[in-house]
Amino acid sequence: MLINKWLVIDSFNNTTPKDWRDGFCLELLSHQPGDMSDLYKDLQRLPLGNPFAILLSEKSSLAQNTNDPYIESIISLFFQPSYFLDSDIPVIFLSNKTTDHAWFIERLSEKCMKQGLPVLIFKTKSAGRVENSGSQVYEVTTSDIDYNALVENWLSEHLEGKDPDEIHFLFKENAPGLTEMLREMEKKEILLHNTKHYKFAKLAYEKQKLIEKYKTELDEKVYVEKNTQLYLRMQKKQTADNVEWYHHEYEILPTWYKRLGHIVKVLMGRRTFRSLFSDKAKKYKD
Amino acid sequence: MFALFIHIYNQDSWERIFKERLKEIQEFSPLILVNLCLAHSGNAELIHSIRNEFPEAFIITTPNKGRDIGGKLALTDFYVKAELQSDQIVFLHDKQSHHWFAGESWRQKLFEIIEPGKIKAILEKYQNDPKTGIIGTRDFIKNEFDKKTKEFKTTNNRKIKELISVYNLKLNDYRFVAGAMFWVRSSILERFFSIHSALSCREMLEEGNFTDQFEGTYTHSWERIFCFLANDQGYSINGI
Repeated sequence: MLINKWLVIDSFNNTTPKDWRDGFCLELLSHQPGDMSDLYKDLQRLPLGNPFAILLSEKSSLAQNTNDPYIESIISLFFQPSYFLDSDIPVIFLSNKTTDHAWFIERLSEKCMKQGLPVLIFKTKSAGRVENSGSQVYEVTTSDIDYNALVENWLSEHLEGKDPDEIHFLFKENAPGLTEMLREMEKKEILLHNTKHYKFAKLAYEKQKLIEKYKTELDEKVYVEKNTQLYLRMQKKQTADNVEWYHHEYEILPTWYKRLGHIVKVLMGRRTFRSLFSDKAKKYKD
Repeated sequence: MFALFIHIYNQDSWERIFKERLKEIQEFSPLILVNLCLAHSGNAELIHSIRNEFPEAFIITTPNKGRDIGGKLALTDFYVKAELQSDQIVFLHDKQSHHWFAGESWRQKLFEIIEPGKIKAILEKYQNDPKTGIIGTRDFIKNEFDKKTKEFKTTNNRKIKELISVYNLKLNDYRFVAGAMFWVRSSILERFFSIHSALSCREMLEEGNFTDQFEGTYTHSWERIFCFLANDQGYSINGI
């Protein structure tokens, strides 16, 4: 989606709105691995249409949580099928109010790489002003969003060939007046959807996604082709080894010995008698 | 109850190999855990298809690291972290072995362990013999260890010995199930991976597709180590 909405929650529980149609962003508190077993199971039941990501905020207090079990419990979240990926890379939202997560992020990135998985860190911005640098992730506290400026900014970045990221809005679950704020924003979006620049941006975005999809498919095909070449080389070597083995184990024997072997096979019932005298006769019994 | 840990690399394997086989054994109500390759573009459709047939299945997606062994370790990690429970675990994957002419017939034989008739016999064996740790297809139970030289007759020799030392395994039986598809008593894995996290074990595995024909790999060494864990804990390995 060109514009993604995320509901920031601190846990999945009974109060998590069931009618929320967009993404869930889990604000990472100081969970211990043992506390997270239900979270893994809950995430499994999350529809793929509801993506999930984590947010590191000022509440996260991660400085004390750089131990391997905790970091690995985060990495396991990235393996959940609903986890939000950007070009197959998991995304972590990092609140702009945080200052002390550098060491945690470094350690997490290092451990992720050892699992064959890079991570993307998207730093949030205040929704009050539109900036055309970096990722477009906004922590929204009022409905006073300048949609036109955001979309125009996205479009100009796209036309400059900068391959801009999607736009993300983060809403705190317990923010005062959230329902009213969302309603106001929906009204603005309806107006936005009728503007020419939005329609053009939407088309450009869909084209960009299609190109990414084709690139992934092409990469997959190149990979398969490379593997097939490797397997063919190995099969070729095996065939050569087999022929050599056959030569040394059988072909090298005197003809009379091989003929005797044929007769033994007939006596053992492994070959038909007629095949001793005619190449056209059925050779082996079923 | 037993759990099936299924690693799927090729997108068409679900339809071609697993779907019908799993339907045939639904009477046993196994816990189903599936690992898919993260980078594949058709995962959403595949997940939908799996959940359509088996709504209770757990699915994860991981990068192609350590081939099926990496997938099985990631599934083990999920199983431990989500605190799932079972009596036995069955390791399965969409073995292709393109490099070997007999790959297809190998797979057919390895999959005999989930034929309904054999499942009954296997469950009975586990119930009657508390020392049974691992059960696999008899023809695939191999032993590469040379007692005289104390070496493993494989390119993986050095790495296998390294892992035995790292995990301090005390072994007197070096048999393993070649092909890495077998039944294992869940408590064996639960005990080991509660001490050594499955993800940290996965870190050392090689990335991408590779073989051990010319050079040993940690991935192929882990294929052996999985079976050695049973012996280390005093359990036996049996063929069927």
